[in-house]
Amino acid sequence: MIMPTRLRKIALTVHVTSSVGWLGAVVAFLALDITAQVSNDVETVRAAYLAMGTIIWYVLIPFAIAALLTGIVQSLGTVWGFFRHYWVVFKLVLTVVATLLLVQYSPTVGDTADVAASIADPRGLPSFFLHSVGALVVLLVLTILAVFKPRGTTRYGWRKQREQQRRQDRRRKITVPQMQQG
Amino acid sequence: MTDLRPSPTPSTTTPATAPTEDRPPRTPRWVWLFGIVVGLFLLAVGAFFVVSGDHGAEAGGGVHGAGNDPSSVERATAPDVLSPAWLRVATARPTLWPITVPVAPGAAGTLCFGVSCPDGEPLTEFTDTEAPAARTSRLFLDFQVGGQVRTADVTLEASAPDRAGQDARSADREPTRCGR
Repeated sequence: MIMPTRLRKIALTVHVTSSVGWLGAVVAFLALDITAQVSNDVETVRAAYLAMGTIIWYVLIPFAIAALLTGIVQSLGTVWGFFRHYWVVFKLVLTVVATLLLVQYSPTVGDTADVAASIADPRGLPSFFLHSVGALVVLLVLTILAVFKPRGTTRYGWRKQREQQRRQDRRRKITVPQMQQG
Repeated sequence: MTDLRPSPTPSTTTPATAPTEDRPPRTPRWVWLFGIVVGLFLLAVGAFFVVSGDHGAEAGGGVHGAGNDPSSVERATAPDVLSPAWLRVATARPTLWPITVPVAPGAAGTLCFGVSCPDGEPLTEFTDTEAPAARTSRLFLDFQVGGQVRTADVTLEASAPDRAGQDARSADREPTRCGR
């Protein structure tokens, strides 16, 4: 079912906002993680861990879920479809995996923030650098796929295109004889 | 159906590689390469989950590790402020465990590793620095076990509040086993 233009643009706006917001939040998270690792000031390190705990629950997870849901809405409501084009399939898989990993990982970050809030010297607590960089790479790949939309139709998409083409041809054949009679 | 095999006449043979109406287009090369990269990435993530047993931060351990069950520690019967307690834990890697112990305001204590106090070296000391109405202190126990499975007896002892003027620790008293 194709969405009306206005609704499609609203959905697209929400999708782009949440996706880019997710990317920005990961960059902020990475910056805080680096700060927590390199800083020698106890309170700075503590503040960085507390901020990471806040960001992951109140920014990263909502944006990730919003990006995933609006992406699904976009797929279902436009001609791109769910499984017709390879770039859409890859985006869907990567977004689902990234969101699941984020939800799975967030208690660890939250607990570490609790530790940082409670102990006298939070320096030396675990880093999340590898995970942050991994998330950043995945999100950049998703952005590139969304902008460039590389060519490539799946077999399912090709079948759907042929069906659509045949329907259009049938409609044209019906219309032309009518015009000739007129 | 169109016969796609090349005709026997060599000069008029047409290679049957071009897409036709009945044949789907070939999968682009970038899809194969991307699929391999994504597949390897998913395999690596899956392997990490299987090997580590959980998903935690690197370099220093996670909050919940393989073989650990922090909830069993937290749900263990909280020791009385005047009674020492044993907590037996097993861990395969460095772990940061939250242990919630209700103590009276102003109470102090030590957490010993391996042997019961006062013979062993205390691992950490805690004091309840919260407001007088607070009833709990949280301890974070850091096990450094070098990646090997270790079973450790942890003795948690708490002294009476200063106003009582008594130290409840006693080498002769049998510690109360609280949980596994």
